[in-house]
Amino acid sequence: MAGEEESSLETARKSRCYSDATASGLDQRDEFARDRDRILYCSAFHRLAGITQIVRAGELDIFHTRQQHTYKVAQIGRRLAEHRLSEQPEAAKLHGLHPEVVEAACLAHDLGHPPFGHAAETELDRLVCDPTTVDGIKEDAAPDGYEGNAQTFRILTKLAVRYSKDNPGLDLTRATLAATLKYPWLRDQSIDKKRSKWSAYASEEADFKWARAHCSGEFKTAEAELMDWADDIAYSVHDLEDFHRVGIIPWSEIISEDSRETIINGVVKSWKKDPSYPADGPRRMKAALERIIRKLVMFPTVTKEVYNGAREQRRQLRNFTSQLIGNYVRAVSLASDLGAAAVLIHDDAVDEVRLLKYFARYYVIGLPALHAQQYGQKKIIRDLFKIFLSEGKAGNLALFPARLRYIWEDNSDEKGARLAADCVASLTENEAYQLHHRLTGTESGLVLDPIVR
Amino acid sequence: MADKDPQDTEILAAIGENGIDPQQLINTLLGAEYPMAAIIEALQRAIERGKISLASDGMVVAVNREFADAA
Repeated sequence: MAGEEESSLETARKSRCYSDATASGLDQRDEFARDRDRILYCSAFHRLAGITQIVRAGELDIFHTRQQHTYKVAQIGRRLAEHRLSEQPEAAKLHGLHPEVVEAACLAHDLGHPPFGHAAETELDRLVCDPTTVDGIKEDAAPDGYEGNAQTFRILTKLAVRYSKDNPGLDLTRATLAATLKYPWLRDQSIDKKRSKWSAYASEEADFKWARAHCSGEFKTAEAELMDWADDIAYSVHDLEDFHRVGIIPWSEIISEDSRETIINGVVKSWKKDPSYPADGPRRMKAALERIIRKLVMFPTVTKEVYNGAREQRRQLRNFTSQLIGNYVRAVSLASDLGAAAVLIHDDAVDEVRLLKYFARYYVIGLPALHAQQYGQKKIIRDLFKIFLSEGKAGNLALFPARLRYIWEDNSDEKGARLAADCVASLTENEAYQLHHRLTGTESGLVLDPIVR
Repeated sequence: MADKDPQDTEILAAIGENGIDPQQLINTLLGAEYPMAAIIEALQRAIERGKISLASDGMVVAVNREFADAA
């Protein structure tokens, strides 16, 4: 802060675990811009181009990869922060809101996604909790399993390679690390909300506490809230766009009076699994569906034509999604004090995003071929995990691609299942397929091709 | 090249101060005997020029009103 003394909050937010301000040398960027750039350049970010959420990377070349999704999240997150800074400067100052931090957190938010999306995430969680199912032993287990968000934090603080092994991870500022914590707690099987989602493993507990030292209670920072909302906006809108373009979304059914009750019941059924489900959920979903249908009226090529990529279809689709994103960006405000949720999001926007996510999920997840794909993908995850665990423990690292060996060499005091999961999770989907072929002997590949570089 | 009818001014007049349901807006313009394709084209054009927008409740509004609400 030029011309005024920096507050203790700002000092805390800018601190790093391993290096201090003098390490910036002649760098013209501020601390948070450096964080953002470090994430953009790390190999874990590069890997995001090779993984997807539901449909496999590269299939039809129409679906967003995690990297394309991430760029959109980063753009929306930055705009959310800039809009709040302009509309609520005092509240933004209170929360220490900085657009670079939000953008950095957005760029980082999916780094821990394993290949093959949530199906693999669930499988890895099961394996890390109980590796005996693939011939491991109980002592190999890490009881806090596997979770994409926690893996992101592990990558940022431990696995990402940027400096020497005495200085692991990306050495990000406290503010940026805190902004990546969507679920700012460790796993706790006895508490509902901490059983299914958590943002750090016990193995990174010290880093987690350090990152959260300036935060209040178990509330996400304002920057983490904006990152989370940007993710929801981007995901709900572009998934819908992807599946619309391949013709999976039956718009005529969605907009017809006859189907409304079925759709509402479906969303409500899945929403009820959320501990925060409100009593007026069905009424809210009915209203959300009516608003979405109203918002579609001016874009008839979206609902009345089979998508073929014609110019007018693309134009109307872009106008429609642009209107949605604009609505959702303007639906947030910052809380005027600390000690509670830092960001308030209008219920109408939250409900619509929930509904849009449901459309994509419901109509895609029902595809029989997807189930068959996921069945096979989970087997690949299991087989690779088993091989990495048994060979890693045996010290047979020559079998490992060179890029993965440091995971075992640098973290020998950690549970075997955690390290095996690290190896699996650091692969792209193509790498997982090809490495699986090679290691199981179904297809050797070329001897000069290491597959994983 | 001049815009084909309906013009932005006619759309904004139909929207009025309080916004309008998009179907009602289209019906109003159909009532003025514009063909459906011309109406949809005019609405896309008005959106792209920042003249109109969809408010959070799905109503069509003149853009200034939407931003005033958001602020």
